[in-house]
Amino acid sequence: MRVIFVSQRFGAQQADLAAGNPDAPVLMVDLDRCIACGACSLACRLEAPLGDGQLAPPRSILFHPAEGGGRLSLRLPLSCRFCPDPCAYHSPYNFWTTCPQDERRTALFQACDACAARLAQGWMPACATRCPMKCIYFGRAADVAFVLREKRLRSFGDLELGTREAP
Amino acid sequence: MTFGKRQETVRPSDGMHRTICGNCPAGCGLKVFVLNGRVVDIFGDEDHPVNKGSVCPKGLLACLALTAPRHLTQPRIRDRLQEDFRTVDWSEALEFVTGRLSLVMSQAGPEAVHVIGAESDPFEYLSAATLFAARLGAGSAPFQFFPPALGDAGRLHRMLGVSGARLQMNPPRDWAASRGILIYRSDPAAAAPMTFGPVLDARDRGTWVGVIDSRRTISAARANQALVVAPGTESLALKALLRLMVDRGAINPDFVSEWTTDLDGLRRSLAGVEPGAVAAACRVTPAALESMARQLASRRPLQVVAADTASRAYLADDELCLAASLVALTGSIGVPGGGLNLLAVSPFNWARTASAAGDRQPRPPLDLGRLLISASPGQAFMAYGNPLAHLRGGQAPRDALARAGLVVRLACGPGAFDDFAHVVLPMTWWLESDGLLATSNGRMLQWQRRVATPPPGCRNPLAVWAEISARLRLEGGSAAGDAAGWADDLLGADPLTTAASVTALDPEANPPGGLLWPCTQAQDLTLENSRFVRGNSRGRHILFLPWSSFGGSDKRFPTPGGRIVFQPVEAPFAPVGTDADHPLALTIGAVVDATTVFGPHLSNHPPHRPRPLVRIHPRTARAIGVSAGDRLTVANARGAFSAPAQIADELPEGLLFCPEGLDHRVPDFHGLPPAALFALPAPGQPLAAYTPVTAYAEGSDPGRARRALARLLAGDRQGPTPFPLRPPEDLP
Repeated sequence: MRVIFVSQRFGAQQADLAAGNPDAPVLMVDLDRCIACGACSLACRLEAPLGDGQLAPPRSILFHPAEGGGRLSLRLPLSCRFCPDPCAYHSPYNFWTTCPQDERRTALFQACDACAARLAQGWMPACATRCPMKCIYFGRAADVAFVLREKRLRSFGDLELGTREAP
Repeated sequence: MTFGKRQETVRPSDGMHRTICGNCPAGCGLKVFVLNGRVVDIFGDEDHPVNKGSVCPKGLLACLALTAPRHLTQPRIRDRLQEDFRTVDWSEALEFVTGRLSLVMSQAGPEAVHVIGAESDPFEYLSAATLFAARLGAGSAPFQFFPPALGDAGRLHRMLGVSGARLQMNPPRDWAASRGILIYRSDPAAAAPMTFGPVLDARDRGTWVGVIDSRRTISAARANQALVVAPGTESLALKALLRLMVDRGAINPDFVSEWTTDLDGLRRSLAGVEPGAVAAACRVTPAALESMARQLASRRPLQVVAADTASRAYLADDELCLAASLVALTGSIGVPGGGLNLLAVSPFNWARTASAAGDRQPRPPLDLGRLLISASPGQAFMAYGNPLAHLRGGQAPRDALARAGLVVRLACGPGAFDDFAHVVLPMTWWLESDGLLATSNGRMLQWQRRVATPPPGCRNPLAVWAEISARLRLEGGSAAGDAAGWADDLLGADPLTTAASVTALDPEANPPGGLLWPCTQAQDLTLENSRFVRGNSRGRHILFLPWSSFGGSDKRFPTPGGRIVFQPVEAPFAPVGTDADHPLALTIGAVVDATTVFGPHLSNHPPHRPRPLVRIHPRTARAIGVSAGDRLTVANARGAFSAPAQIADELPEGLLFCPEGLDHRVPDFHGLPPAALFALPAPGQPLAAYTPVTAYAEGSDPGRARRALARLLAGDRQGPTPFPLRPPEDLP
């Protein structure tokens, strides 16, 4: 799954959704509307609770380190809050935090499967469904490209980090 | 395959019911999925105009609490606070209550019985408690504890003919029509996220959104322009902005000449406001003030949003009148996109309801802390939920409460107030019983339906007050009736809601979104569709339209003269009062991912880690040797508490922030609730939003921390500069 962030604060437009498989799943997040409420995180915990009725930790979308160096990985939705060794890097203004630690932490959390049970019904994942500010969009690359073009009418830049599956 | 944003559950369920969330006044529509009578999942109602399918984390957390084992299920009583509670049946519990009440009244009269309330209490509690207090002749009634500036005694009522508790001129659905939105001392993104959605929608369509606050809140971070001022100087900034607008001639002369009076008095009172001095006091640049004033002057229609549930108790008469003056000067009243839009409004005037029930007691605004310390021992106090959450004044009011003859708590979950209660009565809550939602951020009435089966020992507040009244043989005591009949009676009796009824509100039988009030005639029950408004919920969208009269009045503005009466700005500025011993200021506010409505503090936080509960600036934390998660002690002469620290850069260096609702029952929190560290308000005055404190790492030397803070803050002006308000006589 590709993850794309859009914001007027980003100067460049990087994501090329026309390249690659038009049916590949893409998650797009509008950072300018995100209010760091955590509904996506709670939705993720609710969607697949642990068997004893306890809420599970949220799942992680894992990323390659950024091109050209820097060891970045991004937790979605905010699993770093559940990390046993959190740093002070999380800020409410940067809800979609880039964690500067290395991928040792990737072993801590289950990988996001975009809510496979919901996808099978043709529904968006829980985080996109529940977001109160309607800032998460999920779809085929071709559909997301359409929405992205609409947002670019209001001069949004975008940022895409390379993704990989969890080990 | 195209994926749909479907508010549906993948879990097995045998039914779906629509109801309204009761966690905050946003009033979001819910779809509750049940299996064998138990709730299995909750999603938003995509047809509901408030949330259009989303649910915020506070509502989700509150819904999850239904299945938690902490729900109170049986009444509990004890003779003295030193004893343990014993579980009893309802008959014995109510016998105990009425027996003690009779004893208290035989010794000190019904004035020794105090019925406490808050605006956030359920409608069924507030209404039944108000009538009980009226018929008993109780010393205090619930509405007396509401914020004084928003009541009928407030100067905003004098200015507009409507009190702030009932004033929202344009509902959120209209806000996209604004050209400018000013959010004043409010963080709707945290207090009621769904109410912030229309603000973002407006912003994305080109509306200018500005915020005045002392923290860079999330609402401020998403606005176009944020004026982050020194703590306590928010009203100063508003005065300066108004002065700059008047200087610029940003006045709609037609509206002002036809519909207002006393502009000269306002002008004279503003003449002593010097924007340069204000900028220095607020610790902003004059350019920032000028820039915001330019926007306010040029953006019409303009609206001001204020008074969310977390911040409304801090608003003073002056600030409300200043905000109203801002929109009145530009003629932004009675037009789409304009208005003074206060949140958490309700159509009910409980003072009038009590009076109609025969209440002859004077009912001035009261502060619970002042009431407690002035009450003699042995009196009776009855309350819903946790009134201690906002109790100020240190330990003294708590000690006074411990000397009461009877304390009755009605609640659906455990809370700190249990420590002072002789009787705890378990209530159903909003998923478990029918009820009216009258307090709203969107000026709407809605009806909640029962969708889950309550534990057998829980009762609705109506039934409890009815039975207590019957046992005390109060004249006119209500038959319990059902919640629908009760609501219909009160809706029909209130001049702003005469045309509303439960039948018209039922979400299973009517278009979603409830009914906007005032609704006084049949046409107010329809979707408004005119050249002004294409409504998506029923009722009148814009108040004070030029050709209209306000409900219950025959004038556009229900003042004696039919015009808006500008109020002179009077109150001198009072600094926070930090000093060498207490160099920091503490404030309390809403956080988006926690709720205390159910009782316990619920947040989306991992159970195995300490909760971050006190926000502190990174440099301040470094100065006193505190890192994220370390326990921080915050103290002043009134008391102290300690909790894990959260490093947050949204604060200025000299400010600490706590979420509301903290007390010793919250894991990892020790000591007095943060509210206790604040001073009692002066009679009839709003609560103080800030209190001077010191802070240090728990267990470390407080003196060393104070010295480090002094060095840190010495690089900045110590406290805001006293504001030089020239008296009008000095002016040419």
